[in-house]
Amino acid sequence: MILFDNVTVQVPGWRRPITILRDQTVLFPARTRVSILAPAGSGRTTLARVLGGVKRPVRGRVFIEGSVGWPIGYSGLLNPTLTLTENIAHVAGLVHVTTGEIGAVVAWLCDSDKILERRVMTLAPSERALAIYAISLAVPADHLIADDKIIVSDARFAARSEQLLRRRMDGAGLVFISRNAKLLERWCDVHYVLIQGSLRPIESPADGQAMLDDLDANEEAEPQYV
Amino acid sequence: MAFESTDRRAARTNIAPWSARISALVQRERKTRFSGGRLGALWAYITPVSWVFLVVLFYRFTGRTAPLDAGLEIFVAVGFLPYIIFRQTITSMTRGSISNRAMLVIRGVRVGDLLTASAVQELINSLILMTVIFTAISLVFGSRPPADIGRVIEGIACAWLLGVGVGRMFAILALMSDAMLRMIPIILRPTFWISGIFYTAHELLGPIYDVLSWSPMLHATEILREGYFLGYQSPLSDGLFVMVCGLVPYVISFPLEMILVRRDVSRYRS
Repeated sequence: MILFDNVTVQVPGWRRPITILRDQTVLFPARTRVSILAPAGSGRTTLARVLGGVKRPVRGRVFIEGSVGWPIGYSGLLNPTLTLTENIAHVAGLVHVTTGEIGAVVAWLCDSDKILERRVMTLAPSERALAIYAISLAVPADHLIADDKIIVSDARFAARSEQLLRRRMDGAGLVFISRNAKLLERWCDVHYVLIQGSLRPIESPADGQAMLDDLDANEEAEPQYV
Repeated sequence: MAFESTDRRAARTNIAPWSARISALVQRERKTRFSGGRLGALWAYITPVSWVFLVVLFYRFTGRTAPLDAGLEIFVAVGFLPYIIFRQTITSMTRGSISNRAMLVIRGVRVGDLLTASAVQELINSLILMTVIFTAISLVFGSRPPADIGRVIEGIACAWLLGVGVGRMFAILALMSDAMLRMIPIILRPTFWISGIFYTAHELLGPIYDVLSWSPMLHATEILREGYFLGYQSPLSDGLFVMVCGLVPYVISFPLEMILVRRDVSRYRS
């Protein structure tokens, strides 16, 4: 489980810090699929970093029981001048998994062993996206974090990527942060909306979307960064 | 699926031990620093060897000779090596912490790990560089081998440790501020002239001696000279002084790192 205990999260701003979350206490239970509906610019990536245990809140504490993956499909890990295998070896060394295990997942998802020996810079954008998706899901974790991306968009590989994701979610929890209410509804059972620095429980992402729309419509809404 | 064997137990412990993290990051650093070109990692050695070569040429053209009973080539190389190691360690730590920052998205990987990996990689480079340069000059110019290899390694270690201390502090400041990153070469420029590359401590007189006796780089260079040249004794070769000079910025870098992480003031978002 991941517990936010009276957590305040800020990012540096031009004149003063920008608050993403203010004094929030929220439990993300183990083996539960939680959605967070968060509009553009509301601090999704920052929130994903806090959930992933790589950013500390300015106040409060984050308790993480078990392991947490990095955001699904995070692209920064690949160095374009190296081969996929070399990149995988570096990630494997950092997460205590063998290169072969990660390589096998990448080869399976991309339906090619040869792709592993290619330099990342020679991969087509879709191949690169597929590889980073596979790498992020190749490492087992108790909590998966998704920051807007959850399935690859390439229709040829969508079924396989969904198969991989479902296998990884077997016995693991998911926190999926997105602005896409339909996707959140599809993948998650418990729902929150990030609104004015607070994580409010909602029945469905559609309700959260309605709340956000109301705020916009009334023009009373504070900026999402409060 | 081909990956059915994946062990879920790994999920409980997927933060790799410190040594494994550093090893993986050293590998990445080694592979990526000079990747892309045909000569690859050879550039780590080509650049400093070229510097030595150019200074030897300069000495030849200007008719200068070595102030010691040693060949010009080995005198220049011994004088240059600590400076090269010091500068390359700082550059490598500053660059490595920026170029590998994406790895920070993996839980358990810290800024300090990136810096340590760069420093370790640079130590390996330094030892190889020392071996290559000294062996090449001995073979080509017939210069004598080091008189005291332990003292030679002490001199190299002093230059590296000083680079690690200063490099760690500068690298963290550079993550906070673009201005700092740009100022580093300017701040370090004078070290070229105060490292004793072109002179020995014995040649310094009066106030110049007094001022330069506070240069830790000069001490490191003189330690190396004492180790390499049989019978050479320098009045400025205090290894402890060099280590303290390296330790001060090293210690300062830790509260700076806490500010960087806790206030999230890095210029870069991983």
